[in-house]
Amino acid sequence: MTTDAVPELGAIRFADDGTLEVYNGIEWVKYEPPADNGYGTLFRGQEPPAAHEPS
Amino acid sequence: MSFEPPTAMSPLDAVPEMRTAARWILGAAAAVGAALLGTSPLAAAGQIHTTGTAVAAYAGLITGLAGVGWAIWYTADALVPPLTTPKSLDTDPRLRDLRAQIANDPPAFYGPFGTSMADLLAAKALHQQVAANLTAALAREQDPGRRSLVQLKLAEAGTAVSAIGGRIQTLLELSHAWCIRTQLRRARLHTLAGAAVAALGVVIFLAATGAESPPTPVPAPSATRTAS
Repeated sequence: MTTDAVPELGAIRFADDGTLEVYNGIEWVKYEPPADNGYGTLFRGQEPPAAHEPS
Repeated sequence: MSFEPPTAMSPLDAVPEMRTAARWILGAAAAVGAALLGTSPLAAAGQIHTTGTAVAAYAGLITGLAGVGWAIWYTADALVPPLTTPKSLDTDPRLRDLRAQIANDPPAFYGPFGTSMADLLAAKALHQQVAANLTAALAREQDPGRRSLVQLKLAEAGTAVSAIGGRIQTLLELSHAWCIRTQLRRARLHTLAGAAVAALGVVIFLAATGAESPPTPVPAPSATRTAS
């Protein structure tokens, strides 16, 4: 009896259509890292300077 | 002219100012305590003549000192640096209101990489492993088309790891600063309560030392009589 070895997390392979797939711990998926559009928080120190302050 | 936010700024920039505020509160509590408890015993010197008065005065002083000590204890707590780890954001009770804010808008804090710190850490581990595997694949791949694809994905993986690392770092810094903010806000309330207790102690002390008059000397009978 043979068993398929479970790939390690983050393993890569080329799919039949030439794309690159990655094993995410559950299944093989196309590797498309989400782009961080920078949507985030504004905190002290990042406020724009007041109008009367020299820039 | 457009404003570009400086990227080197951090929530940690607020920490020194919060600590300065805590030091001011500490100094003010100590000064008020010294004024109230330092001068009262001197003013009441010579007013304690019985054991009961001494006990009441002692209780007043202890109460006043406890109030000042209470304020100092909790304010000094804001000067102790908290230990912040990625797990703190999910478990530290001082970060309860921060967790509520994050729950209102997870993408603002976690970006597109999940909805919790655990998601961020898992995503970073995944993309780091993918980047390592891509680097190894690039070394052995000969096909030009596949090489260019690997190079493209390697750059994307590096960008993702960098972005996730930035998110984790910002959340750690925000959590750390938020802990100190919570400690400072709690210190303000405890300082108010401590001041009330200190004032109560002073009142007890003054009431004890002022209620009893010293024994009045009985005037000696006069040896001379006035003519009636």
